[in-house]
Amino acid sequence: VSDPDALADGFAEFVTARRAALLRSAYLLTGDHQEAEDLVQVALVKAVGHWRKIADRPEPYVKKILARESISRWRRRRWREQPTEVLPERAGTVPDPHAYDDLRAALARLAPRQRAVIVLRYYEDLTERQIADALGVSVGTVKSQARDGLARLRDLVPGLDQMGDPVAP
Amino acid sequence: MGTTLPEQLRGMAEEATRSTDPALGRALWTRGRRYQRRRRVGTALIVATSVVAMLAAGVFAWQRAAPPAEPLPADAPTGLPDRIYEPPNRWLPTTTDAGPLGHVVAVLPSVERGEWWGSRFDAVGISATTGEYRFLDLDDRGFPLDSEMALSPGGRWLAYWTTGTPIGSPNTTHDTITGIALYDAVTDDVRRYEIETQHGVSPFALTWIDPDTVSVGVGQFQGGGDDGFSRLTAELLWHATEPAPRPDDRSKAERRHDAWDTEGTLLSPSRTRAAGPALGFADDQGPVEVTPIDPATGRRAAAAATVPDSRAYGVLGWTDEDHVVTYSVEEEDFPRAVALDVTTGEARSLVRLPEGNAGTILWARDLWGSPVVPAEEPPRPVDPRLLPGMVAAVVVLGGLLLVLWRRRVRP
Repeated sequence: VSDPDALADGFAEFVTARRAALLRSAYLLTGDHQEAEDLVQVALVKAVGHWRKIADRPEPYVKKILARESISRWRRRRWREQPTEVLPERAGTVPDPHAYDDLRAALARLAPRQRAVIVLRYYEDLTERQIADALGVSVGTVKSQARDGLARLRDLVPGLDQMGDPVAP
Repeated sequence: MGTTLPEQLRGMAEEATRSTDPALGRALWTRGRRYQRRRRVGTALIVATSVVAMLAAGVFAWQRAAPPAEPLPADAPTGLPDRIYEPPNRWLPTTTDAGPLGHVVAVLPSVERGEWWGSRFDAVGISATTGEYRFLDLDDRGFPLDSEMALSPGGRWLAYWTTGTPIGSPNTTHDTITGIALYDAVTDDVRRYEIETQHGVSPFALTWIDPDTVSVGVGQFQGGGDDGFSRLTAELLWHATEPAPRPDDRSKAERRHDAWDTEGTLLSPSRTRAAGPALGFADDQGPVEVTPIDPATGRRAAAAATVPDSRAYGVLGWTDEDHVVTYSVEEEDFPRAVALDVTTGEARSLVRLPEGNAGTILWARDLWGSPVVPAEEPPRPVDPRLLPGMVAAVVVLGGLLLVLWRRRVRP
C-alpha cells in the first residue's frame, strides 16, 4: 500500500476497530482513564510514521509503543509529579466502580516495568520472548520482573491465589 | 468476578471500554504526520549543526596550520627576516613531515615541542629562502652543558653532539655524549661519527672555521656517575663533504685565528678585524671594540679601537668588512640585531629579536649581508590532540541533544 489516502484510510479503520482494545491495555498499564486515553493517542500518533511498514499487522507494534511509552511516562512523571486533592475521574459506565480496587491499588504499587510485564503476560497473553522484544529487555529480565511482580501482587491482594499462569513456551 | 489474575485483569480492563468517534482516526493520522515532520526537521537541524561545527573545527585547524600566505620571494636566494618569532608554536611541522628547509638563516636551539604524551625540547630552523619555521629532526641529539651545537656560516650544516652508550660506566653530569653529527639542512640527512669513549665525551668546542669545516674539541670524562672532571684529548676537523673528521693538523697561526672567533669576538670576512664588546662588560651592554689582526700570523696588528657611541651585549657577525652586527637593547625597545659601522658608529636595525632568549639563537654568519625581508609570522597549528577531541565532543553532544530532543518532542 503506497497511496497516502489509502494508508490514512487503513489507519483510520484500525483506530475505529482496535482503539477500545488498546484502551483496555493502556488502562491496565496506567490505572487511569485519562492517562490511558492519552497513552493510546500518543502510541497511535507515533505509529503513523511507520505505518507504511506495519500496515499489514499494526497491533503488535502499537502495543509495543504502548508498553514502552507507559514506562517512560512514569519515569518522566516521577520528576514533576504534583500532589492533588482531586482524585481522577472514573469511567461512568462501570457497573461496580469498586470491584477491582484491590487489584488497581496493587498494580499501582508495582514498578512500571513489573506492571507492564504482568499486563503483557497475564492480559495480553504474550510469551516471555515477545514481552522481552516489546519492552526491549532480556528474557531473563522479563522472568525476574514477572516473578517479583507476582510475589508483590500476592502480598497485596490476598484473595488472588490462582494465577492461572499460562505455560511458558 | 474471577479470582485468577488473568480474570481479574480482564475484568478491570472492561472499565476502560468507551466508544470511538469515527473522525478520531483521521485526526490522529494528521497529528502523526505533523509529528513525523517535526522530528525530521529537528533531527536534520541537529545533524546539520553538528556537521557545521565539525567542519568549522577542521577549517580552523587547517587555517592555523597553513604555511605563511606569502613566502619570501623565490628569486631571492637568501634573505634576512626582519623579525624572529620566539618561542614558535610547539606543534610546528618537522622537516620529516614537511621536507627540508634548505639553507637556514638561524636556528632556535631549544624549543618545546609537543608530543602526544608530554613534550621535549628540539631545535627549530628558520629558512633563509622562505622564512618558514620547522622543527629539525636531529637524531639522538644530546644536551651537554657547553658547545651544544654550531651552525655553519652559510646555514647549510648544523653540528651537534649525540648521545649513546660508552664502553664503561656512563658519566651522568649531563646527557652522556658519545659522538658528533652533521645535519644537512638542504637534504635533511644526518651524518654521525661515534667517538670511542670509556665514560662519555666532554664537549670542549664546536666551531666552524670556514663555510664547510667544523673544528671539534673532544674531551673525555675521567670517571662515571657525576664526576665532572674531564680532559681535552683530541682536536678534530670535519669537512662537511667528508664522511668522518680527521685530526686538526693546522699551523699555529691558523689556529690563532680560531681564538679571535671564539672568545667573545668575531672575525671579519677577510679575517683582518675582530670585533667584540670591551672587556669588563661581559654581562651588560658595553662599547664595541675592533682589533686589527695580522692575517699571516693571527696576532693583534694594532691596539683595539672603540666604535663611537656603540653599546652592545655582544657581536653576532659581520655584514661586510666595515659593519659588525651587534646584539643590543635600547630603552623601551625590543632587542635588536644592529649593523654597526665600525668607523662612524652609525647603527642600522636589521632584525627584531625575541626578548629573553635572543642570545641563544644560532646565526648563519655569512647571511648577515643578505637583504632584509619582511618576516612572516610562523603558523600556530592547533594541538592535534584537540581536533579528534573536538569532533568527538561534537558527536557526543549532538547525539545527546538529538536523543533528548527526540524524547522531549511530544506528539
